[in-house]
Amino acid sequence: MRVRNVEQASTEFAEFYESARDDCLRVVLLNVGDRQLAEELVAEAFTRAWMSWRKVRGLQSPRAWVVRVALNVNVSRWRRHRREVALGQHDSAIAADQDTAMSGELAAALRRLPLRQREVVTLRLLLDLDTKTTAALLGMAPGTVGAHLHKAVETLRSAIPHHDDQEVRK
Amino acid sequence: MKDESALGIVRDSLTTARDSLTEVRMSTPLDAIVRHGRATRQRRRVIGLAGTGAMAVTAALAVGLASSAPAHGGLHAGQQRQRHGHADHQPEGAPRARHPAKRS
Repeated sequence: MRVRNVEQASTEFAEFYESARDDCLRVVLLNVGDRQLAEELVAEAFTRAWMSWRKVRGLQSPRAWVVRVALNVNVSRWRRHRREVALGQHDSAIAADQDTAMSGELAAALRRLPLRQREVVTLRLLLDLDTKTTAALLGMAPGTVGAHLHKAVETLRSAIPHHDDQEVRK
Repeated sequence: MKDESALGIVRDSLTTARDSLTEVRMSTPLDAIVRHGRATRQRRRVIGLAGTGAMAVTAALAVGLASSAPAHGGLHAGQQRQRHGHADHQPEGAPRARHPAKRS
């Protein structure tokens, strides 16, 4: 009986990994701007998901959990290796700018947001979660999610060229 | 209204940025994830066992030290006698002072 449950859990996790890994990688890549780092973070997050699969499988959005864990792992790593990253960041910024998909002002503005705002934007706008689910996942009140989103949107909006300007140019 | 419009513009722009990354694919195979998970779990188990062992050794040492320490709050029998002014204790516990004249 137990063996069958373990097998079923393994199959479920394999299906989840196949269906969610690329989406999670893209969302994390938008957040960190470095392809290799994003892959490492997402792999680590999926490893943790595998280890806690019994809990994670029951969540409303397991892929949001994976993305959030990946972003938190990034912050933990940065804290642990603060000095090394301070030196290494110069190179990674150049690498990110060389990547055409990552060169946009918007992606750069997203990466400059405080972690909480970035998490809210990622879950609400990139993963399309509703406010209630986002609040539950981040352990904050729905009102706080709204406040973070409002601030973040204000910042990000200023990084996007206005539609009016584009029309005038045409 | 203005907020809703800004939210819509930001959402659309972010979605476009994400969709422009369609060629980006995760190259880590499932096996590597599972292997890493098993190794981490095993390492945690070993650390847990080592921690439990260390706690057991500490507890055993503490019990051993406590049982080998002198009784009566750390005072030796001689010190106890000194503290009570050489008073003899009757079985009931009432002290009986020795009379110097009765000393032989």
